Amino acid sequence: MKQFLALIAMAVFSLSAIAHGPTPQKIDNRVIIKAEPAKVWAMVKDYENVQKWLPTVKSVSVEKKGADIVRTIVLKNGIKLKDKIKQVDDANMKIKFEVIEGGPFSNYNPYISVDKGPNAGESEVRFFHRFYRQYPNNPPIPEGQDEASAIKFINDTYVPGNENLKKVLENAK
Amino acid sequence: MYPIRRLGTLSFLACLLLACQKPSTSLAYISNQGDNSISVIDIKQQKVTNTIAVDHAPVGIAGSAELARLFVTNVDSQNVSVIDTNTNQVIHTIPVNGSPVGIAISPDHKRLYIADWYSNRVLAINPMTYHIINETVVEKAPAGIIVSPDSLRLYIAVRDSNEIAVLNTKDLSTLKRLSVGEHPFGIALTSDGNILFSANVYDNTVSIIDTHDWQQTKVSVGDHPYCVTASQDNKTLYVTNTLDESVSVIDIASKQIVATINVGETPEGINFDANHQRILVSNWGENNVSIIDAKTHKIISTITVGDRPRAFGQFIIAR
Repeated sequence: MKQFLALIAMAVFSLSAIAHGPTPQKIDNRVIIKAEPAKVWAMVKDYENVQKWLPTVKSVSVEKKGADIVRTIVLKNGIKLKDKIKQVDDANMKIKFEVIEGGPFSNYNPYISVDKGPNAGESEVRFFHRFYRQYPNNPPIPEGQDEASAIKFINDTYVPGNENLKKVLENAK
Repeated sequence: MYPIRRLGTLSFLACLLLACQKPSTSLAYISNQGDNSISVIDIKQQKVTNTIAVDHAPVGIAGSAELARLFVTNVDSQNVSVIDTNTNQVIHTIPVNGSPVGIAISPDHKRLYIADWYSNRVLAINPMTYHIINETVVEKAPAGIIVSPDSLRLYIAVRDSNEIAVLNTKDLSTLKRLSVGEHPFGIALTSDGNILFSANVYDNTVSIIDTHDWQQTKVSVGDHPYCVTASQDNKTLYVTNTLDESVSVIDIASKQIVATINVGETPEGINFDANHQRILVSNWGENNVSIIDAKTHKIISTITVGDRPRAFGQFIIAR
């Protein structure tokens, strides 16, 4: 049974990785935070504790799968998201993910980067999301699998973290 | 026979005439998929000189200086915009009824080829009358396409089959299917047609293929390579790494990476401008184009264009 489930999981994984639509989507937000970049980066790179600043998250667990680090995020609404931690780049203060399962999207590659802000003691955080709609084929697109659904899901799930990261860090002073 | 001064005047006039024949600049046509437009960049002036509205979600670009035409695939409106490059006006729209993405024009200017990636079709079209001359099935998900310098072969990156298809342009029959890396998307040739390149998105490699004996070498590049282009002298290959914000520079003879150039967010389309020895890269995530000096590998200019520039295909026309 376990093997069978693993096979199904593999099939689902490879399906989500294979095909995607022709029009990539982008959500690209920047937030200025009154905190030193090193302090902001320390919180951003701590992917096992994303619930500290991403308000939609209920719990996080992380497991190693071969060379991959796979994180499971359970949202407060019960949805389970799986993503791969692709790179944690301390030199450039940038963390890259690939969200592999859990929402109406495909080939979803977000990253978060931290830079110096406009003034001393400030940081600029960039939240960059590149993704495709879930439905990989020509229209008609089934309900809930179009571009608008993917954009709404990401806006509802991840984007609330942008302002909350600022709040958490600025209040922590 | 002539006094020295007269000769000087004559050669001056001859140069002037010759200069009129030689391309004075190159124009880059950047497809902005997010705002349904084409930004026209004068590479000499390093600025956008025109913006042309097209149909929905433009991606692929093919142009011909001789025909004074630019062809743009609009994937979401399922058609191709035909632009007169003398007036920058859309003069016709060719319906495709599928998902046109890859597009290429034959060097003899007689055929326009369009890859329809969901319906697995390749169409051959007369670029002046817009008549569909022929069509064939190429499974699965034909993406980047390019025609050999002698116009006899059509090379297609067949994304979901992890293959390159080689078609005979006379009848669109398949000459060869060649296994490459995972998810080939962009494709390029050296100017002599001897070497073919594909960017293999999912295994982070570029295939370097001899078009005579089909010998292949894979070179590891950055994360999610999308597009490739070779320098005019056929010595250097440039690859956009979409998830690394960089361009890998490969020495074609030794098949070694000799430099990595940091560019903007999500670099996609890349072309070499022989006129000015420049490399142009469209940065999808940043809404701009990097102009890189081919000798120094330094970015000499960054030009703001429209939303989500793809510039997929041969997007530079010498004028």
